[in-house]
Amino acid sequence: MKTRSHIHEESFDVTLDQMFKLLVTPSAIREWWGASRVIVMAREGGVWTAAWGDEDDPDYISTATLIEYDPPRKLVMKYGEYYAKSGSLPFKFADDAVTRFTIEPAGSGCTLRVEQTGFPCDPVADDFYAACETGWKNTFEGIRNFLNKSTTDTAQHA
Amino acid sequence: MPRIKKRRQEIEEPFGITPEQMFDILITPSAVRSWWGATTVIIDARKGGSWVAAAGDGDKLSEYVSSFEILEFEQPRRILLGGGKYFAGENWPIRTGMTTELNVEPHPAGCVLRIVQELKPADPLLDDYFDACVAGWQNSFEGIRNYLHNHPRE
Repeated sequence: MKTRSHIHEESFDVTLDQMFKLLVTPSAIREWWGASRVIVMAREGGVWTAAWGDEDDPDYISTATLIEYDPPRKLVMKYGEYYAKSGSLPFKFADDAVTRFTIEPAGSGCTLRVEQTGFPCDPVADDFYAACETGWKNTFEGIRNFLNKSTTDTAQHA
Repeated sequence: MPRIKKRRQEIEEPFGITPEQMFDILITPSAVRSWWGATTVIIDARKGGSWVAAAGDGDKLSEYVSSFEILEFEQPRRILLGGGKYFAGENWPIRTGMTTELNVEPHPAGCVLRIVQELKPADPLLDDYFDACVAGWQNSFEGIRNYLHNHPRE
């Protein structure tokens, strides 16, 4: 299967540890990803699952296994079945599809890079591929908003 | 090399509700939270889906998490959970390999819920884990009774 990937990278004014922590902390993920519920087993081999919408009738459920857990530099997820109340995706990801987060030092902060692989090149996946491109931009904006809010909250409680 | 003994437990109890109502209680996150004592539950209720429950401070890093893959899903009679994982801190062997079969059968009183758990503990901690699961399901049966008392069926 011919596949394509998304890569998105931005710099943030936080330490590597702070960035890694927000990727595996349920309360943080809920905020930056807009999820309703999140459960994380923060270990290699653990699960990382999030649900959106009503508790007993969710709109979406996304579940992954943490196939690499290497704080504070790398987190690699292998997604399982994706649930959407509106229906299944019209294609399958490649068997080796992963989402890889890498965090590198950059000046006084860090750079967060995400690489999502395994989208089929088939036109049937075009809409979802485009939606994910927008989704990652929004996710990074969510992370930035979360960090700004955390900084503001810390300053107010100092 | 010591031989690893397979552990198995089977417990069942009758309940005064229909098999359909019992099956619903086993896959509805708000119900599972109640009878299992979890803080967060996410269930993708279908074959190939997942059943994940966390207890403790779910707002931060969850203290205890149990997860299973749904290997079989035969509504309203049977769910087979496999690929068991349990997280309780850094020192735990995260993969338990436990399977849990939930069977719901018609009964004159309503239905019988039968739980069959199997585990081949490759680690002494998993032997203790299995013992805890035996006690855990006894508590869960009581939890289901309490849930039904607080949420009576029509």
